[in-house]
Amino acid sequence: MNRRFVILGGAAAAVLQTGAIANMVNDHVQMVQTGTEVILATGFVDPRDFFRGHYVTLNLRISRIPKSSVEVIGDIEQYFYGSVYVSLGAKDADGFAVPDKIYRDLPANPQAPILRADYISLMGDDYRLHFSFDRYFAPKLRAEELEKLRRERRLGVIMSVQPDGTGIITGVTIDGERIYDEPLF
Amino acid sequence: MSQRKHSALSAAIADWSARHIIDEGTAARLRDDLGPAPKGWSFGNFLIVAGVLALIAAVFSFVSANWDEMSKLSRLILLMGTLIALWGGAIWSGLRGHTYWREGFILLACAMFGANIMLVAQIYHMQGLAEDAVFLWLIGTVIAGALTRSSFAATGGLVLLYVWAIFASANASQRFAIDFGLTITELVIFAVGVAILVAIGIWSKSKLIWHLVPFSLFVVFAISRTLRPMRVDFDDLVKTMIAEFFVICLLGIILNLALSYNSLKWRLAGRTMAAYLVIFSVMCIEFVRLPIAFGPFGRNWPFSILELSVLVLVVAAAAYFNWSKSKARYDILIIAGLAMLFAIFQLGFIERPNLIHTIIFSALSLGMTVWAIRLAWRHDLRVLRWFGMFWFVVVILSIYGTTIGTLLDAAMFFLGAGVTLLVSAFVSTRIKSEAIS
Repeated sequence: MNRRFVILGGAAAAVLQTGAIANMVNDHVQMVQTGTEVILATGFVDPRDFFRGHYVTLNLRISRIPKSSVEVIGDIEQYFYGSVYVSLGAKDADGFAVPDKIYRDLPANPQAPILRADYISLMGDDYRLHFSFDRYFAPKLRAEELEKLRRERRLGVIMSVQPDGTGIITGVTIDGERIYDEPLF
Repeated sequence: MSQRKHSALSAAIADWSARHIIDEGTAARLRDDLGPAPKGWSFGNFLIVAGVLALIAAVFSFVSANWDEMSKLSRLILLMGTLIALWGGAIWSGLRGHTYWREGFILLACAMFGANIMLVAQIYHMQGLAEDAVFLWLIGTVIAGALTRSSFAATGGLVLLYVWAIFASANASQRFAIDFGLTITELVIFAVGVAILVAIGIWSKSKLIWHLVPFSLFVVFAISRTLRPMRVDFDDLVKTMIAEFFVICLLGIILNLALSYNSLKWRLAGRTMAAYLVIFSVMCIEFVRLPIAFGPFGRNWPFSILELSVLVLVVAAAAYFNWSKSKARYDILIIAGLAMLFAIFQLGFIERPNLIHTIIFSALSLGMTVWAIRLAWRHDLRVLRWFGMFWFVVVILSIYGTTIGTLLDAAMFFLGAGVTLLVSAFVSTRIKSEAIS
């Protein structure tokens, strides 16, 4: 193996892998800076990710939506394993965003922030939705602290929502107060 | 030509020449045709790879532990700086002609790339499926393998392809009502991935990758056998795969023993049998270690002791009868002695193991595996050598798995093991060079 190949091959691999990581960070920063902020009501459960360490599972209130409380636009079957879009056009008394419409397809000019759900099922009188953002990574002590918060506390997760329905977690609120606000760097 | 074949041909030429079957001129021409002996894998090479693997485990343990004291920017600089430094190490060792150090650095850099993906996702609460993160890791590793013509990166890529397939099948079976774990598209990606990685393996003259290729069939077989529609328990999947793998290994061993029973080369059959018995013994030690590492003993531990004791006695008997005139009996007796020590520890002294016990057992298990590999190298037992290297990875992963919760301790253990192995490799290389000069 000649010297030129060793140097160029190694350098190209280093640039490629470092560039991929830098691109991940850059995409995230761009999305946080350009998104619309909403706060969703949630609860927390503390498990552990094999690769990424401790986190709390978000038990989002909007994962279970009473059928009578939303307007469904488009044809959605009982079990629909594709993306659906939830319009967060209302707020409850605690200031948490509340869904008012579920779209089968991404609306062209939405009047409110739109969140994309991975799939939906109808169980009894409720729509059950699965969102890709279902965990908040935290150090072990903070994860345990969040898990132990009593149910009567009003827990919220701050999201930055993109026009395409992507949601990014940027912080946590307890009783309306921002407790953990995630800095970009 | 492999080192083994070269050695056999050289010995044959020397023998023919000594018995005057061929004259000295013909022997010299044959030796010229044969050329110099190729550089094969040595025990020192294994120590380097094992050391790098232990450091990889240390990196994973450390980065999975909590490190919230640092700012996000500092974490990013540390992650990317380490990645670039590892690639720098690969280029530096490549320019100095240290092939195995270069391969080790490349493997470590690819592992660090994966750690970076997971940690950046953790730092920024990036969501998504684990299979997507593993896929990005796989792509980065495959391209790096192609750019650097690296045998280890290609082999690591194949392992990542298996991990991706398992994650993809587990996720697909949860979300879709399908019997088979992989979709047609994913199966095509899997097959294309194997083909690309084998091509890189051929280009980089990797023998290691060929040992993993048949495992591809096993991965597909295991996924298709174990997944149920709609719901799958990931732990059950992994346990079933491991159990099936051992059943396949056992069948292979029994078949091999049955075939060698009628062989005319009784001495070889005896060596092979003894090698398999060492393999069993080392495996049993790990099976004893696992319930200890998981805390209070489960229902299986008396059987482990029984199994272990019987196997240790059989290994000792094999050592006495088959290798009574060989130096190898000392190696086997050391393994048997350590195994017995291990069993005594478990039987007599430890009811509720603590961290120190876990560390002692882990160190013993790793130590015995390394000793078995050393034995394999000294006596040219290929089966035992490949098993030993495979088992070393299994032990490393199982220690990582059983120490989740005390990750910093696990990181320190792996760091210590990795540094010790690499220092041993460095010292053994120096001693060898001085002995030659």
